[in-house]
Amino acid sequence: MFGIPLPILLGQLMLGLINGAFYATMSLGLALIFGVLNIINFAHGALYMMGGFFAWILLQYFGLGYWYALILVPIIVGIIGLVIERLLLRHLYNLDHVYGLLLTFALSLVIEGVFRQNFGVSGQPYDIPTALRGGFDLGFMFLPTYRAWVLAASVGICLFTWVVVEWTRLGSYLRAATENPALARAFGIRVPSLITMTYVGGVMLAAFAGVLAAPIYQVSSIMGSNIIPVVFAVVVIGGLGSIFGAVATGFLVGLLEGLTKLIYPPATNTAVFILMVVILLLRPQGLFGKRNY
Amino acid sequence: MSDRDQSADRCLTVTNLHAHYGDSHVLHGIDFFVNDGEVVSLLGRNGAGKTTMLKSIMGLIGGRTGSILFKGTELVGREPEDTARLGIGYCPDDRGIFASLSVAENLLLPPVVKSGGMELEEIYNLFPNIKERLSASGNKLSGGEQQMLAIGRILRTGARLLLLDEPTEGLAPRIVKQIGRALRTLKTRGFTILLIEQNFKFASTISDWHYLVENGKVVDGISSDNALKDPIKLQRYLGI
Ligand SMILES: Nc1ncnc2c1ncn2[C@@H]1O[C@H](COP(=O)(O)OP(=O)(O)O)[C@@H](O)[C@H]1O
Ligand SMILES: [Mg+2]
Repeated sequence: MFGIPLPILLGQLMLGLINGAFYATMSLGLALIFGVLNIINFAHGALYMMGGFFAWILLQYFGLGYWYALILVPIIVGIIGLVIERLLLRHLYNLDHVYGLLLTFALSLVIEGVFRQNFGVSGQPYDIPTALRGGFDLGFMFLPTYRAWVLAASVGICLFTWVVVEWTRLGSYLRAATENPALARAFGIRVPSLITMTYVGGVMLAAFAGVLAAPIYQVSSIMGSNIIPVVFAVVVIGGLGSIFGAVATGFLVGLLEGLTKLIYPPATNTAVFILMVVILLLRPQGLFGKRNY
Repeated sequence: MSDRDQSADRCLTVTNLHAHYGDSHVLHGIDFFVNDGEVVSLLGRNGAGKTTMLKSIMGLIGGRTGSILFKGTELVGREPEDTARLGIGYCPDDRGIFASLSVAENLLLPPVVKSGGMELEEIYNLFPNIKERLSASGNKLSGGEQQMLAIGRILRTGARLLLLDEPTEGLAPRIVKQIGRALRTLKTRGFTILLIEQNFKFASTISDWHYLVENGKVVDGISSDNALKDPIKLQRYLGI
């Protein structure tokens, strides 16, 4: 293909998949939150950044390593999400989307500001945990173990979320509350608690992605701002209709970036947005979206 | 209202109920009651306020004042989920089948809130169609099947009061008969039912008592027997 040697092509696709894993985990959380809360959570990038930062802080100040961070950080950031939802978002559910977007955008500025003030903008290195160092020689490429782990962990967490939403009783409550919250309540389903849970769940996904990202991208107060434009492009391309769509589009966009880097490197960072414009023109509801969004 | 049993246990007592949609005042001081085990229908023209009455009971209308007592508990001021959990089952006028849920998921959706709800097998006996469509998606059902599912799913929760909003609307006569049979079975099983109906003939085969609703008020009440004896009066109210 385009005279590119196969090993290089596959290697680049693999890198694309790994970026895609982050996009997928992030846009999955956004889609869940949008479905149930009717809010576009612009703070998602800041929460992801907090995920990375808390992992670094736990190591730096408390001597707690990667595996502790992977469990503890989503819980800590989840609690912050709980406070955000209970204190702020709760008041916006009956208003237009734009209010939620503005509030969460403001929140992300505040959160990033706090971290920039205290830690600056330069990246803090975070070492790959010993168990995940090294790599495999796949014959056509060298796959670092940590990247394979990121891919497996993201796919695992997305799959887990999908199973919960599509195949459990809690998931049927969630889908009902997404479709018709008033009626779900009239059946005795505690929709306000579900809303809180969903926000916390989405936020935990972002924090989890942040911890996974720490050893790859370095930890910095702007790591959220770096990833969020692409994640929102993913959301626009995929549409906010389905969680499967969010995950699939995340990986798709990662692959697209990887391919563009090979074919025409200068366009690597813009290809996604070109695709977004094309999708907006041809299918405004997104690849997997429903028309009424 | 001479032939109504005044000493029976009250299931629902509505007093001076007002309801608003934003600025528009829709219910103007509603008074009525339902005894335990009774089937009571609300009759009245389109736009009279019947649907709004049921929504007000469920807490689905923000602006309501007055009193709604369910077995002694005040419902005005309660959230819909807390209202449902007292044991009230609601079947909305659009049936409210969730398209993103399968038929089985729709059927199992409302949480069981009290003991003594119907077993799934009993619900399938009542509505055999549901059993055959369990794995179908909620939006793939015919109107009749949707209606059966909408009634069926509130029978397993242990709710003793059922609010049914026009369960026969737009359905073929054969299906209407099937739903009529089901409702009579529910009545013999001791369910209390508050039923909205456009079709008086249908209502008269099930209901003990009918309230006539006009312009957001309950203007009259009449037993089935008397209504059948004095059809002119009803016709005047219903405009038929
Ligand atoms: N969501 C709403 N917003 C504003 N007005 C409404 C709404 N729903 C119903 N109404 C009005 O309230 C009145 C009563 O409606 P409804 O309770 O649906 O009557 P019925 O069920 O007896 O046909 C009607 O005049 C209707 O136009
Ligand atoms: Mg109506």
